[in-house]
Amino acid sequence: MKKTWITIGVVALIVIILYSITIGAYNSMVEKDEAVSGAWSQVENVYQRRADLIPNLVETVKGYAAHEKEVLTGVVEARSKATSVNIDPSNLNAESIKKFQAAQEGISSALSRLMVVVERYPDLKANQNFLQLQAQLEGTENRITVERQKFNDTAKEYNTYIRKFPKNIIAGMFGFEKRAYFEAEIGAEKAPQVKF
Amino acid sequence: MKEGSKKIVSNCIILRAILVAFVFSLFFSLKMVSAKECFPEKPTPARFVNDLANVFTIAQKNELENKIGIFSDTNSTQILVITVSDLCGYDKSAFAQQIGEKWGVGNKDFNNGVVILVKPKEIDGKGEAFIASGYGLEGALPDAICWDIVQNEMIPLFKKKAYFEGVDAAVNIIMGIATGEFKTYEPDRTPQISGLIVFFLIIAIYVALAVYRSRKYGTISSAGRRGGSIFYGGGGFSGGGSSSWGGSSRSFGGGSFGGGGAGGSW
Repeated sequence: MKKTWITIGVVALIVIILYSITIGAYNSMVEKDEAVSGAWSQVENVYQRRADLIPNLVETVKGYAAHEKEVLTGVVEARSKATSVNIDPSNLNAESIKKFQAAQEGISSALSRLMVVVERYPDLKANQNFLQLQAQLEGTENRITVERQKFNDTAKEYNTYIRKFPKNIIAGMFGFEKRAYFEAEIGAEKAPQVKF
Repeated sequence: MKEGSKKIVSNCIILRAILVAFVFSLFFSLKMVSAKECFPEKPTPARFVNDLANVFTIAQKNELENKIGIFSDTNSTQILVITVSDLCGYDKSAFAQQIGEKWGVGNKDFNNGVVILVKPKEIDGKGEAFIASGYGLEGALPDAICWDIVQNEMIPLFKKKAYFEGVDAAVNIIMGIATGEFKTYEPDRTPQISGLIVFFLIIAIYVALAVYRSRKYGTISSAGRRGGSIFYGGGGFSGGGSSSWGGSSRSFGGGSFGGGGAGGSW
C-alpha cells in the first residue's frame, strides 16, 4: 500500500518536473523567436532610414550637378525598387533575406556611383548641407552594419537554443524552426583576384 | 530559545556565503569567456574618462570625470570619453559603437549613452575622432550634429594638440543638448525599498512564528531548522536587493548603441 503511494508520488513528481521544463523551454523559445523578429524589424528600419535620406541627397546633388542625370535616376530607381521589397518577419527564410539583400544592394551600388561622381564637383563637396547629408548617410550605413550584426546574433542565439538536446525535441514538437542569417555582401565572399 | 536562533543564524550565514560564492564564481567564469585581447576591457569601478592614450593630465582627467559624473547623477545621460592609440583593426565608428554597447554606457531604459572616441594623431597615420550616440539620443544628437561637433569643435583644437580642450568643448555641448532631453530623471528606487520591506517582513513573520512555536511546544529545534530554510530564501532576496542598493559609486547603466553618430579625421 505504502509502496504504491510512493510510486504514484514519484511519477507525479516526474510529470510535474517534465511539464515545467517543457513550459519553461517553450516560453523561452517564444521569447527568443520574438527577439529575432524584433531584430529583423530593426534591420528594415535602418534600411528604410537610408531610403528616406535619398530624395534629399538627390535634390542637393542636382543643384550642383544637374547633368549627371544617369547616375541620379539610377539612385532613384534603385530606391523605389528596394522599398517595394518588404518581408514579413514571420516569413523570414534564407531566400527572402537574399531577395531583400539584393534589392538593398542595388541602392548601395547606385549610391557609391553617385559618390564617385560627386568627387568631380568641389563646390558640392564644400556645401555644408551636402556634408551633413553625407555624415547622415555614413551614419546610416553604420547602423545597417550594426543591426545586421545584431540580427545575426539574435538568430544565432535562438538557433543554438532550439537545436540543443533536449530542447530540440520540444522545438520539434511545437514547430520551432531554424532561422536564416544575413549573408556577407554578395560578391564579398569571393577572394579578390590578383593579376600580375 | 536563544541557542536555537543562534543556530539558525549561523546556518543562514553559511548558506548565504555559499550562495554568494556560487554567484561570484559564475560571474567570473562568464567574464573570462568574453574577454578579448586588444579591445579595452570595461573598467571596474566604472570610469567615464578612459585616457588609454595618455593625452590628459591627472587634473584634467579628474575635472572631466567629476563633471560627467555629476551630470549623470542628475540627468542619467552618461558620456564616456575614451582615448586610444590603437583601434584594434576596427573602423572608428564600429569601435565607438562596440565600446558603448559592450560597456553598457547610458541608462538601460533610455539608452542615453554617448561615447566620445579620440585616437590622437601620431607621427605617422591620422588622428581620428568619433561621437557615437545611443539609441535614445539619436533624436537629440543626430549624426549631422555629431559631425558638426567633431568637425568644428574638436578637430580644430586637436590639430593644435589641445586634446583636453577639444573633448571638454564637445562634452559641454552634448550636456547642453541632453539637458533638455532627460531632465527630471529619478533613479528607480521604489522596487528596492519594497524588496527590503518584504525581506524584513519575512524576518518578522519568521521570528514571530518561531517565538510562537517555542512558547507552544517549549522547544524550537525541529521547527527552527525547518524555518532556517525559509530564512535562507529571504537571505537570497536581500543579497540581490542590497547589491543594487549600492553606495554612491557610479556604474554604467547598460545602454545600447545602434551605430548612430559621426566622426572625422585630421
